[in-house]
Amino acid sequence: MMHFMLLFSRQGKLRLQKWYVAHPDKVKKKITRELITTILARKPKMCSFLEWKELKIVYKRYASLYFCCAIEQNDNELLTLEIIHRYVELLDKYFGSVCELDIIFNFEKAYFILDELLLGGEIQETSKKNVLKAISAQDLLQEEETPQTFFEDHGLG
Amino acid sequence: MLEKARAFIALIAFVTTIRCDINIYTKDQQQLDIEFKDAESLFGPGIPNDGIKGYIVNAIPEDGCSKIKPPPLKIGSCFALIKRGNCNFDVKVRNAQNSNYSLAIVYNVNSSIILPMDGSNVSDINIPSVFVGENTGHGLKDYYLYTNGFFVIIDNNQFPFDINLNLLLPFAVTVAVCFFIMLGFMLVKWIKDRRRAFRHRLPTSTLRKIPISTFVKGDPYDTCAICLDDYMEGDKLRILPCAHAYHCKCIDPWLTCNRRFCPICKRRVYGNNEDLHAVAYSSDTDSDEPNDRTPLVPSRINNSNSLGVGTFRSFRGRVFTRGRSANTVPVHPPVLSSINVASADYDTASSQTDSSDSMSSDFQNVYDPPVHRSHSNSADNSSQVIMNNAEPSGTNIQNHIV
Repeated sequence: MMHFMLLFSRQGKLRLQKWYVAHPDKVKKKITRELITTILARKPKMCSFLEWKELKIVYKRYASLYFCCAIEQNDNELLTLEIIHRYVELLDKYFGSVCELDIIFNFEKAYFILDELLLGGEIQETSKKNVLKAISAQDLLQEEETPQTFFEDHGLG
Repeated sequence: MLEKARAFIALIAFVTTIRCDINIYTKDQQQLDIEFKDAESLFGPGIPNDGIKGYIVNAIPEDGCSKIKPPPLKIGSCFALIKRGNCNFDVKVRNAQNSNYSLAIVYNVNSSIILPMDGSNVSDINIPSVFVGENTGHGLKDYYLYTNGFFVIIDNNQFPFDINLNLLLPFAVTVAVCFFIMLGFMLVKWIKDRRRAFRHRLPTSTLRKIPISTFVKGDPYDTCAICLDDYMEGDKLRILPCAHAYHCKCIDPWLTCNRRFCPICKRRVYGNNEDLHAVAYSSDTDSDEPNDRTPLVPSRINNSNSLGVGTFRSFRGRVFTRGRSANTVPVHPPVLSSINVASADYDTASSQTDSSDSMSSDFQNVYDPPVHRSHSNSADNSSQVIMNNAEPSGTNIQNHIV
């Protein structure tokens, strides 16, 4: 089971975090800080997997973003790497050649996509098509629920 | 008159005293033992440049006013060490010369001042002579006579300071090398800075392609952010791709001389058909380090529909609405060729139809088929630019609902 997933930039700024186990805020912060410094210090050629406390850390860098997952000892690292890649592919499909700024400005969409993909720390939907369908349906619902006035349409609202 | 001239010469000579050195060497080891300062006399031949070597012999009688006892040594030349006083300098030197000494050293009495010696009848003197202070004279007499195994070299030391040439040359070389290295660094830095500055600036040719509009009442712009003046009717405004407007005369120097971005929103300014890729990747950093606009997934080569250029910049000014509009509209705006992207920012009316033509096929599979959107004839250009953000989604929603 995945314990948490972190997205952070090369500058060490946390962009996204998803926790599948309960921790107090303080502990979360401590773990985040510790992991970011550990991973940022690693060279590009180094292994994507590392042992950390009783967990295994799987991380991968995509351009300026690091995707970092913590899994249990009996989980498969390669599978986790595949999940990360699938998530990136989903983001890429959804935003169209996604970049870090897309995730910064549309973080809620990124969370929605992640929730469609992973549930309670386990993969729940492997089909990209289904995930994107669900998200676009969700977007549609959102559009219907909030009828936009003329002004809002023009960015003046 | 002559006396006056002589006194003057003596004064000059005293001021610019030619200091020589008496270098004492031990006879057997050929090592420099000690150096003494002396002054060359104004008469007789000067000390040759490469110095004169000999043994010091104490003159007998000491003051050298009568005939001096000839040097006991047959080998090499001998220098007579003579005490000052009782007669003129020229008499002492002449006596030394007559006794076959090759040089006369006269030492001062009760004073350590070193003066150049002068004489009145000196035409027949052909040996050099030097003058030393009292301490030096006694030192020579007590310790450095030929009997103690020392020889001396008196050289003509022209330099006011004792500069060792052996050390001077490496020092000069080091300084020169440092200087040239520094020069090289500065040159490289200068070139780098210049290139960077050029890259940050907007070329004039590109500036000309950015549209200028004449201000008329009713335009949405009111104040130039640079000069803070309200726009007057007939003012020439430069509309940047981000839909911010400035006076031409205000913004042009900024773009061409400083940075090629909009002073309000910091968005980079591109020309109509400038190679977005090249400009984008040469942006802020010199290296090709990924920044927050680098696509996470590099463009797929086999997929001709995907766009190599970062999507984000093709969406200028639409960052916040992007997620929504991109999804409800089957047309995926980033799938444009880079030229289309650039023109989309200026001429939105035409580019919207363009974009639906050149849209990605794989997105059609995922989403609903595209809906052709006819363009409403909006009142003026600028409101189209703004409307462009939300307009596609609006029309499309209706299509979905109906």
